[in-house]
Amino acid sequence: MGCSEEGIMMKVKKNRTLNSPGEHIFLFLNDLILILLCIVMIYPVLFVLARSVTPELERALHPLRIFPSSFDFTGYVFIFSSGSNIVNSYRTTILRTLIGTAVNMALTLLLAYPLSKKYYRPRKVLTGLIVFTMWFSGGLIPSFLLNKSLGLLNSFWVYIFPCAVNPFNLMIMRNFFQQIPDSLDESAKLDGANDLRVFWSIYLPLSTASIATLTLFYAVFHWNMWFDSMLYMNRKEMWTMQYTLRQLIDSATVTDIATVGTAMDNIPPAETVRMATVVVATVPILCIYPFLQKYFVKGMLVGSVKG
Amino acid sequence: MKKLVALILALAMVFCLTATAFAAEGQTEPARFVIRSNSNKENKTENDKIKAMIEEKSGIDFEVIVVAENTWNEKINVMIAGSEKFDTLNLTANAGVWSTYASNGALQPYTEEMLNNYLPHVKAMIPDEAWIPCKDANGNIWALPRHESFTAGRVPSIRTDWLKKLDMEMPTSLEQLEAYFEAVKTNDVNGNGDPNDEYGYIPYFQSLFAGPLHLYYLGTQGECNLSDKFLDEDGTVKPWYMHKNAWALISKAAEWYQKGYINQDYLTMTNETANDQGAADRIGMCSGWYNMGLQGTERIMNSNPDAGVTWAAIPNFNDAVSGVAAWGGNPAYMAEVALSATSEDPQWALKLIDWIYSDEANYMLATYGIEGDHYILSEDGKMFKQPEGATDRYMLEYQLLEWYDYDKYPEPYFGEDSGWRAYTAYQMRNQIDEGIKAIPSWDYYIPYDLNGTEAEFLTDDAQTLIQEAMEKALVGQLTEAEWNETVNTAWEIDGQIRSAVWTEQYHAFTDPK
Amino acid sequence: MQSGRPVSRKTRWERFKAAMWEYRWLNLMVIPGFFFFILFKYVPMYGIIIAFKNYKGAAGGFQAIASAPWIGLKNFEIFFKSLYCARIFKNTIWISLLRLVFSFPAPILLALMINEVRSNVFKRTVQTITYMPYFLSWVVVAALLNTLLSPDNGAINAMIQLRGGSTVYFLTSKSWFRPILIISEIWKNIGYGSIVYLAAITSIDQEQYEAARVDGASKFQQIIHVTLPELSNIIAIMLILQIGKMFDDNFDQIYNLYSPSVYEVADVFETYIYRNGIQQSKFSYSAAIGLVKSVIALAMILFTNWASKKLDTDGLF
Repeated sequence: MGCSEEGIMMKVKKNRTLNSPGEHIFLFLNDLILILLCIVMIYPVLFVLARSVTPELERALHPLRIFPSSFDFTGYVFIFSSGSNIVNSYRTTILRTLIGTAVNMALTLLLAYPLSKKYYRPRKVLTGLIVFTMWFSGGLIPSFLLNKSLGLLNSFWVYIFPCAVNPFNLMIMRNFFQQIPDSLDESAKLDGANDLRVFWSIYLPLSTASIATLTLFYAVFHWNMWFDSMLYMNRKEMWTMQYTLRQLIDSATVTDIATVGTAMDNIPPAETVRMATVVVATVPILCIYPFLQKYFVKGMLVGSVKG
Repeated sequence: MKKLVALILALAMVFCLTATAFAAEGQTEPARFVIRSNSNKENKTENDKIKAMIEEKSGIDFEVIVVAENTWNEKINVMIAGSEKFDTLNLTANAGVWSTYASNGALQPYTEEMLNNYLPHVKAMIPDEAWIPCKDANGNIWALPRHESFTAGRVPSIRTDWLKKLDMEMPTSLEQLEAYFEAVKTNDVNGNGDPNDEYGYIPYFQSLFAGPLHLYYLGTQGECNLSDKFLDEDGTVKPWYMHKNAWALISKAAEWYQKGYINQDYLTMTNETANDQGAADRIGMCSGWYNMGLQGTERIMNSNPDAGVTWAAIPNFNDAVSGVAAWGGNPAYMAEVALSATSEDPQWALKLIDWIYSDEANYMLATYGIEGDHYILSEDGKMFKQPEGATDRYMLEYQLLEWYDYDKYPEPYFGEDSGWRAYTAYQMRNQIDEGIKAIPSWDYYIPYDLNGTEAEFLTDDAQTLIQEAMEKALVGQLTEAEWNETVNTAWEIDGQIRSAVWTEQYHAFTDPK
Repeated sequence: MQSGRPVSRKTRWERFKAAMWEYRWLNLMVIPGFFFFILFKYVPMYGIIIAFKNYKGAAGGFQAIASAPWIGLKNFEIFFKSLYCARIFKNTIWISLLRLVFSFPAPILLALMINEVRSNVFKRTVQTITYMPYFLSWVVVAALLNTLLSPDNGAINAMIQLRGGSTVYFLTSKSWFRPILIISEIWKNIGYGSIVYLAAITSIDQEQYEAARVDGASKFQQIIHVTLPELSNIIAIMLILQIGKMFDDNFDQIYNLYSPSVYEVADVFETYIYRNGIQQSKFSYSAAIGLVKSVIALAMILFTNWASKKLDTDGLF
């Protein structure tokens, strides 16, 4: 029967139907295993945090202790006092993550939707061409030459354009679009909507979970990138934060060994700096996921066309 | 219309005025120096201030491009292949090797004209022997040399306070050293109640095979890698594993490892873990660089100044199997500043370098900073001290050619008040200068280049083969017969080809013409 | 004269134009993204010829690549004749198989478990905590593992010695290295990997669960008969992509953990390319090995895609 309404999302009520004793045990074990897993996961993270503030001598004598007896912030002081490039780098990375993710998502969604439509004739060819690039590429130097001739060297846009669409994420998005029943598309078309409107009003609202997922993936990608910063950016002020930190550690551990013990020697303990780097680099991005979690809600299509 | 013409004229005038406010006459772009990042000097807080001062005083605009050492290869290769414009390249990150860059067309040689016109002071300052590692077989100069501050660096060092506790003398032979190791192993030298947690020897920088033992058995300073070679009696240059004492070296290292004289995590250790072990007071001797042991044990002295930790350098062993009674070091002069082929007008970069060496005040500014602020000269002007925190504000960033000649320029002052680590290192340097011999790698100045030879296509299979064999031997799983077999295979697939090329290039460079 | 078959009135070109017009919106949507691919992925593809030339990164940009001498299949010859060629293949395949069997299902299991949690707060906490280790780089994790497994005074060895055992040299042991690789990889990636599956689970129609419950299915059976089949498409895609990445993606972890003692079980394509290509600036050689890798990966993808279609999923294409 063709009686259709547009699907709407509804939050599911907490299911309070009775469980059998078997189910109780099942759920209890489930929770128990998850708790154990969390402990195993979080211990090393706490370990890193602890190491970033433990005084060197104490860390050497008690390598596995999580709660240091005194606190030593020289690692953080070292990072934040160093010629203030870290502030520039933070700004660059945040800008890059915001703009880059927005561009990524826009292009990915626009490209994934047509590829998910079985009636779109160029679909197979385009998909094949895109997937081919996941394994075959010209290499580092031809890409560098291309970016150079496009004028992207030393420009902020080298962080955005060359990585505008990730084929892996594209395929995942395409798959999510394919999961949405075709009947919604057909019935909307019968009502006179065109492809763009179907995409915008029907498919996008139904895909919040996958959009949230890919937004997270792209954001994390941009946040962690340092390689393109190393290759293309000669200006220190435009380095990404990961690269600045990486270079900080490298520089602190590679010393002109001739100068160790001389007037030029002033290296803080490498381990503290390294751990502090990890904390500084990771804490901001860790905070994004909890905000996106609210999109992972069980959805329900009301009034769909099944039957 | 008139207004338009007036506007255009005005703009033109403004443009001309601002153009002259640029750099020196004729400089159109800032001079670009590619340098490596180290000791965090590129992140000091007053770098910009010093740079502005240098630009103003010299009249030359410049910028530095900083490249981290662990990504050096990737970055430089891409810069060269992409024909990036820059003026000079600092080769220290590449161990002073200019030959591969030159054969790639990335460099241009220094002409006599350049040296005379743009680098008169530098040319006058550089002694003849310093040019040797910078020249090719035809006498072309490809780089400006650097003057090392302290060359005899790969001297092993020992805990003299432990020697005293164990009632032993400073070892002067391998046998005595082994006796020390045995004593450290069986006694509770660090006094914490556990006799088993001390190690006689922790080799930093993977120097178990490449440190003192290398010189003791093979007589050369080398790293046991693909470019480690020796001059055989028949005049050919061969890879290190073909040396008749190679097995002796390996079996001695293995013996020490299995007896527990060496830290058991040697195969996966890093300098940081070794420093931790030092801080826990568990190291009796170390090799790698003369002052590596100080980094870890410093923490003990900082928290307890009466702990009495003392280090000293170990004197040469006269019973060396190789007959060479010396330890390893760096050469006094090494190629450092090469000129890029993409540099269209190198005069500005070179003039700036020359400016630094034209006057002591310029040198001190570029190297140490502002007098009175970053350093304080002694009364006779021969030494300088650095006030607290000075090295946080500026340190070495714009010393574009590294030249540490303390006869010519003020040297840093060291005394008991310089801190335990700095002062101990100073005392060790004096001790080494006075009586301990250290030699650099015997052929460091030869510009080997495998490009264009039959050795060009060799992979690192031989290196993998040898390395795996060495690690197996270390844990006691390799016999001498198996080692010989491995050596034969490595020689066949790789060694003999390299040897032929090396021999030819060595003789081309050293034989009298 | 009439022929048997109807004759189309329009020409091929006109039919093509009509089809393009019919899909005009979709075409419009495709253009920006696809343009990016053409520009940044296909234009530099000429670089594949580097594998067949003796190019050493000489100055001169594109001219240098064009004028480098051709050496044809020499690089491939060197690679296949290498002492370690067989070993690299063996290790890559072994480690990838281990990953497929152990590391691949782990995030799926985690997603299923998280999905069954009743309390929202607990669910979000678990999600956040399990996804943290992903952000530690392998350099850091390797350092942590070194400390944990150290034969010197690592925690694990300390516990072993308390029970009277002798020191185990974990990271240099050929038998322990691969398990350590797999376990540490699961630890690091399980949380982040489960996000995709969690997203897929949220779009499963709740009515299907209701129907199953009415039919008397237990929780466990609901998972087997409702959740998993609904996930089969995304699982198939992830599996195909994972198999395609079999020859990549090994590098960071293995490079930071391995040493010559375990080359025999851990030396893979990526690490070999690193030692022979990047460290010695051998562009041609690493391009050639990269090409070998890509061809094999593509073959595996095509096979897996075909197999997954046979099993009634959408596959990749």
